[in-house]
Amino acid sequence: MDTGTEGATVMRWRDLARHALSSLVAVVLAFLLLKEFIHRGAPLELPTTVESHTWVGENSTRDAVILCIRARRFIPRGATVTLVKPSQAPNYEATIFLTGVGNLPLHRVVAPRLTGDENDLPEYVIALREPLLHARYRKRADFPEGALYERVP
Amino acid sequence: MREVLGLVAYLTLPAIGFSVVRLREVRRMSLDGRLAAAAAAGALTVALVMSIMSLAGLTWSLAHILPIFGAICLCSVVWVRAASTSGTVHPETGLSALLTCGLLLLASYGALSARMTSGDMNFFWVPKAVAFVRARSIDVAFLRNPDYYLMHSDYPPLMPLIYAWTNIISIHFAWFAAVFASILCLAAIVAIIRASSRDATGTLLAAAVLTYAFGLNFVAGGADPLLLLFETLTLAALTFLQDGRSQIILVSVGLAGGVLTKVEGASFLVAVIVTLIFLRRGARSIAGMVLPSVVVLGAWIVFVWKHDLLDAYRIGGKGLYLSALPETIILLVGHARFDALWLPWLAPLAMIAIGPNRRRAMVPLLVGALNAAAIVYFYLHDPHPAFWIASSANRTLLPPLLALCVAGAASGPMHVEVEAKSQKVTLSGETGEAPSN
Repeated sequence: MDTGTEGATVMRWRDLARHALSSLVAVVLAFLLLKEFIHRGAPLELPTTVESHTWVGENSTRDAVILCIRARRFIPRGATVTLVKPSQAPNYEATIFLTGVGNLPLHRVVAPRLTGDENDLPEYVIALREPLLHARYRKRADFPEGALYERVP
Repeated sequence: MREVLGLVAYLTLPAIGFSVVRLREVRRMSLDGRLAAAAAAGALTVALVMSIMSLAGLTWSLAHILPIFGAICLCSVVWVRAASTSGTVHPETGLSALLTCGLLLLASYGALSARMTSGDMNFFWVPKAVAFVRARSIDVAFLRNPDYYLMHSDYPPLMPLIYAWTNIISIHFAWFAAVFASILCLAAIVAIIRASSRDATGTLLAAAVLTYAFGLNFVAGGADPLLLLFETLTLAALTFLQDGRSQIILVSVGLAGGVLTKVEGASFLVAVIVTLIFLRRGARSIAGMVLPSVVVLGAWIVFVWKHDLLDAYRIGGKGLYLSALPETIILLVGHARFDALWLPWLAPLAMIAIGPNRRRAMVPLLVGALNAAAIVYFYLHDPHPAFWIASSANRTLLPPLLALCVAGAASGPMHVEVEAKSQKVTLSGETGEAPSN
């Protein structure tokens, strides 16, 4: 066998090996990803928000997004709002109220400061999963994922 | 309706950046590659125009924005039509291309069924965009508000600006269009690798690895897909393109887009500069590629410094904890496992090992290695980096992984089919040089 033919054979084998490797890896990774996707929720269930199937267990961001959608029709335009998980007081998880900023574009979402000067309290509080026990707030609406509270005048 | 309008806004990006199709090497690419390069240039153009409008005190109303982008599109089309046409080089199609399409469909399913949404989309990318749209400019008061400290006031503005552009078109923010835009970015990344490497096998592997990494690591709606698109443009231009002018312009677009998308874009820029010096590229060529990104990054840093918003870019002034090096490396290697026994890393390495063009893979490999070193360097600014690594490594490891994928495609033979002559030429060997036609 001359060098040219030998070179061509090596090339063919290399090409074949590359094809086999990429196809095999593509199938394996696609299978693993599909398995992961199925693990994240019912495969054919339509999502209500972009957070619907990101986590199997309880997910505060998912709750915050859906609560913003449900609660916003009760909140007047431009009102101050915050989102909390009441049991975390006083160190509330920041990502929960930050989620509200993008999901309540017509309102003023502020950090959860529920103590101090009463005039500085947010006009509305969206509480995730737990009741908000606060003398200055009363329940305005109930939802499966939490409730909306408004400041008592 | 708003999702459709949002999607339309993303689809305008290739039209806005259409002028890059005038470049010789881009005209030689297949249609998907041309659209992908134009989309990257379009995203950068939108961000630059909206930033300049903001600085000039011109509000982002539809009446202001639409005529500007309309004029840019029109000028681009006229400019590109005036250019001489040259033979389009089509990559081979077949089983690999079919599998690649299947992977993109799987990614689309994951994104549209809300299975891979990035948390950062809800925590700061969209909030910033919504605030900017409300203020009709880059809202300094919002960025300075201590309530929003965790949104990183000095983070580069490109992603919120793109979201703001789509929000202006769709009136209310289109969430599902935004997560699907990440899949469009993935498709664009794959298209650039395919159109510039003309290696369907290497493209399939890149598509498989990146689809898996995107899906596993919840990147949809975040800035990482866009950062990786800019990095792909840069790496592909450095690795595959022969025409100097095309290379300089595409690299400069990629680097400028990268530094305006995420802080990691700056470390990618440094990695590219070191690689270019190592490759002994001429000073003029390096300056042409790098200067635009240095100027736009410098302008952003001056802007945030002037408004007292400096935060993440201050990291350079912090102490370095070399004692954390072993822990950092062990943790990063652990996270790189990606629940698949390091297969996403090992497969491209194997591809390079058996590929006939290993020398051509050196450029992306070097950039990727330097990028990985930069990641370690950043984590060493924390004496106990475990939490930082746990919360960010899944994303910070993506640029080196992308570089490895591009290297895998670069190591393959170059299948060239010239449309005009209907000839198929297969290049092999160590040089990997394209025929001049």
